Amino acid sequence: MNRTIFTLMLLVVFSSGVVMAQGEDFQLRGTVISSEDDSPLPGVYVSSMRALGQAVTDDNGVFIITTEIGDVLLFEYENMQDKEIQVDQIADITVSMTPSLEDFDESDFELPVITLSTGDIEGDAQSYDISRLLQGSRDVYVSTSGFDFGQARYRIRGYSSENNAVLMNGIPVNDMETGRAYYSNWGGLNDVTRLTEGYNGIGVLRNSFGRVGGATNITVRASQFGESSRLTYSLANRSYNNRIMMTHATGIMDNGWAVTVSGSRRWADEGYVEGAFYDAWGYFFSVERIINSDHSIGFVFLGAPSESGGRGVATQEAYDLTGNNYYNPNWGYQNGEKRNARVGKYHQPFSILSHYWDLSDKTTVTTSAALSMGRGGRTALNWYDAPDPRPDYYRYMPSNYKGNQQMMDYYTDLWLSDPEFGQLNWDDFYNANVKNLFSVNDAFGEEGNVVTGNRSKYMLEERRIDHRRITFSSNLQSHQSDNLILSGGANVRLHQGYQFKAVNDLLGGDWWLDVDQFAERDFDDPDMAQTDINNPNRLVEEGDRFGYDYVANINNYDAYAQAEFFFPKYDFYLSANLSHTTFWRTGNMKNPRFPDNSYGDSEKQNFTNFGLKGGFTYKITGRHYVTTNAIYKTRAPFFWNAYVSPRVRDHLVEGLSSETIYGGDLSYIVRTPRIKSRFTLFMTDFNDQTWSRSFYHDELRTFVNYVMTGVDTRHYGVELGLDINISSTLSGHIVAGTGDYFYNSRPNVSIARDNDFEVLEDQRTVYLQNYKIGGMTHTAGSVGLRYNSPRYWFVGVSTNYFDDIYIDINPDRRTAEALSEFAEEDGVWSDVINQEKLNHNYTFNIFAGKSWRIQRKYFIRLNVSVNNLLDNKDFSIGGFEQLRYDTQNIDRFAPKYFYLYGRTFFINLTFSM
Amino acid sequence: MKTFKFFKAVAFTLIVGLTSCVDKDFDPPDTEGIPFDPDKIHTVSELRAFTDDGATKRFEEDYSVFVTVTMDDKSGNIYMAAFAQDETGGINLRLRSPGGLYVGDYIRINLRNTTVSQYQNLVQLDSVHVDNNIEKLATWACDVTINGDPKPVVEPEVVTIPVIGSDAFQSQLIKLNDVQFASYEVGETYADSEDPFTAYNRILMDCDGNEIIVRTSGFAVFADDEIPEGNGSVIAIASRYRDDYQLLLRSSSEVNLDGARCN
Repeated sequence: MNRTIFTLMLLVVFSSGVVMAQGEDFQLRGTVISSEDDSPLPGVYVSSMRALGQAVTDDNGVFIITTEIGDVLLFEYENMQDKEIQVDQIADITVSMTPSLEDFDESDFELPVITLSTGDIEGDAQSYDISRLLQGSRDVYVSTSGFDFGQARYRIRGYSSENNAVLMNGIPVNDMETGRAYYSNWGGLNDVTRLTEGYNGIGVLRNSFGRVGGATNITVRASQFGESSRLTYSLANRSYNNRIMMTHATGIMDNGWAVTVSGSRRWADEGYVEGAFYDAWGYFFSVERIINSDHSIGFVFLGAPSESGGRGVATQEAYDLTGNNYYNPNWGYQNGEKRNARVGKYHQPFSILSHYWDLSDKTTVTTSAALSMGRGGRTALNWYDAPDPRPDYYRYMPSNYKGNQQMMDYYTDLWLSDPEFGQLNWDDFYNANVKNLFSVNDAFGEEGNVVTGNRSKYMLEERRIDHRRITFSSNLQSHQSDNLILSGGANVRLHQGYQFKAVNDLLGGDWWLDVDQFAERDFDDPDMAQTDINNPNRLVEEGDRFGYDYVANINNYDAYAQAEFFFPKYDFYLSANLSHTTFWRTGNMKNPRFPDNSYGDSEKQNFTNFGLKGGFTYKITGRHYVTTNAIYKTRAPFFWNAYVSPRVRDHLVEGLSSETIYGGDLSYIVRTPRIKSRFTLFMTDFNDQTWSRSFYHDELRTFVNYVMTGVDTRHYGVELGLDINISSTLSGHIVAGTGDYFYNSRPNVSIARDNDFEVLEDQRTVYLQNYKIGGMTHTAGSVGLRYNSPRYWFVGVSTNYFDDIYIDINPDRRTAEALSEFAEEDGVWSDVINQEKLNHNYTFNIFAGKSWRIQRKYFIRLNVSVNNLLDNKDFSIGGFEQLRYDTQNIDRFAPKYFYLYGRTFFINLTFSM
Repeated sequence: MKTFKFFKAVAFTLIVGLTSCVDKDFDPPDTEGIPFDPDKIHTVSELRAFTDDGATKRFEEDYSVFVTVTMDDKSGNIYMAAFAQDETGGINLRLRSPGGLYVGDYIRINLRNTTVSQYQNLVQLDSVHVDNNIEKLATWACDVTINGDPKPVVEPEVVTIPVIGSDAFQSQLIKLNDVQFASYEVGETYADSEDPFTAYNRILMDCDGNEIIVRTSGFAVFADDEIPEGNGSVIAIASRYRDDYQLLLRSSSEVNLDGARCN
């Protein structure tokens, strides 16, 4: 039977209600359903245009709102067209919402992942780009930043991603050692990670205090997925070329069970970047059992195993010599096949058991226990007493021979005439290893035990970051009245991160001798060259751990409480949190250079931190709001910044302290059916951060641990987002953001020799004040237009502008010591200290799609998106100075840059029902 | 019914997905050995002869020379270099990159693309690439080579300071007996690791007053060891720079001076 007729009948039946005098407000009750299948829609925002009240529909689609005759109610729900209903009588209403023609989910179009700073390139971290999360946001500034700006690695407000809290079913999922959220842990599971709620900046999320950049909770409860089945095939030319996703959700069945399963596969023999393959799977299982009207239990299990070849970054000189801004030094031929030396392999399955309890009709309590564990690792070449195998090692570059034209020409010719000169030569590694006859004395620490064999000169190691984390979380939300919602909860997170490296491939050799090459060079006593004096002279083979092996133990206890107040003319909220963090290092190897500080448990470090935040919204009218938010919090240092050289010893950074973060924003918001707009001013300070890196220091001629403390940064700027419905079919957006993100202090640096206690430099001052935070764009803007045809197809274009892109600087170059040999008038002085700004640039994107409905039940959707339509391959979106530098020839270790991909496309074909 | 159709579609796509495999296993390549022509072998003295009167020779063919490594760069006293000898003489090797050769290695050097010349009166074999030019036949621990042949044994030759001054044992492993450091050197260190780019010369003498330089790099791992005061034996490599004869130590433990001084 036609549901529309039935709805109309309902309205007719109830229209014989009492007519009240205009001006008197009353509580209107209603139900919101989907026009597709009449199922109730929970989470729909209902607001009174006369600012008399607002509401959100509950699990049954029911809402109650204060309104009056003549008022207009606005209904908003993602993926549905906004609806306005005029209130003309006091009677229950049923509101039917239809899917929006814009059911094109931009989060389907995954973006290339580009690593950002030296630490990321040389480090082994997973991708932590959050742009995918942002694209699903309802805020036009945020969703555009994710989609159009994400390709250029735009960071909202200049924050790095450890400032965004991500949760899944209320369980915090940010990594505890680095603070970042690795969305790649559920890569490919787009279908089932679409239900998100949260905020960007400072705001309220009822199951978390959140962080200064925002908080997002992803719901994966089986009962929240409506009954549906979906199959998607995608074709692309980015990090992967093919993708299949399959999802089936039963919704809540008559027997009280709900099950959702999803699987995906993404792959490419070679993605956009040469030599970078991609091979990933995803699996997801969520089940929920409604026990009775008050209790239900759910279980979720998911994982996303992936293996991919790394893309590298290089100096502009290398890009020019190869004629390719995407030159990847990490691959080479082996037996005629391309082999990548930096293969990342991750699999971190996650399971959550939850109990949902409707304590009363006002209050719900959710309690969960979660287990996250798995492996993460990236391979890298290692070599001993052999020439550096990296094709772009500085000694193989013509610029190294500045002043010697003959040598410069010789190397330039090698690069230009032989395309394989710039790539690895795996065959050479095998040739060297199979004849490297070597005898080890006192092998395995046994006196007189001589072992003779082929010692690998080159090998592939895998640097692992495995972990196991148990989380308990409990959250209470209570709608005390129409004016007050209380929420609060507590989390316990117990984390162990296992950091070690293992032999991945001996490349033809018989074994690798585990010794520290730098210590061997610096110390006469061979015992001092051991990595583990408890197990000296180990000959390690594939799978064996070697080099370093320690556990990062981190426990965090956290409690938070929030109160939200709603009044007709204004809302406000207050939140507070209190947390305690304990961490310590457990070493599994006894380092002879630090025998008392390497093996076993270190001292436990304890930090108690708190946070306060609040916000106030004044409703000028139902359509115009002014909002302001402020936050003040302290944050314990992250484990990976707290230790001077955690791979080797447990000495802490001196003066280790919590960071202090405070800031606020002020926004003017307009929401009419035609215009959705937000204009925001913000400012945030981060004080007392710690910055810790290890690298080879040319001036001190040794491997050093470089620690800066007292690093302050300031971020302030404006954001504008404007979404306009020009006509019933044409809409447009204008989004612009600009800010100044810079260092706001002169940190203290201490430089220690990696090999022993010796502190080479203490109290060196880094003149970092006012340098820009680099590696990203400070200004971005986008203008877009979109046409939605009533015949279920759409097309759109956007123009995007990026400017104020500074490269990430090397703090050590901004010290008196670095400049000690120069006078300010020397040209070299400014070469050493200037921060390079990259050229501004534009990109054009287009997208289009069509959907077909078959027999009212089945949908077919085809979406196409093309980024960087004009194939601009000269857009450098970021870069960083190398930590190793030579003041006599600053070009010897030139900065490395990364470029935006040229024209890339993404085609999605989805069948659903 | 619709669920069944859905799962049929799932099964189909699973097959497509699973068979689109990404090739990640790599076969080890066939390795090439270092070329060898048994009719083209030189001795060290033949190599040295090519530099008579300051001449140089670059080798374009697969000539080989069999030598034993007598000094490597592990101590840091030399850099990107090594010393090696056979029964006919010794030679200094300049390597294309640091490391890879170790004391006691019995090796065959394929001379293709290397050059023999004199540098400030020291005969050198230049541009030796350890991976491309060298085949290792035995290590310090082996009695036979990988081919089963007996490995030649190299012992330090006992000589005197004047004999070294005749350049007869250039680049060979020698031993001096009854020598001591000049009294003003006693208590100094061989070199100074705080001043690494400076090599220090220390004077060693015999009881007849003949002197010879012991030269040590600031990068040597024993640079800061103290020079002993006694009299005894020293094992070193005999090197030369212009008209200075210099001894290069492999380790400070090869300086055994605990006897009474001559004067």
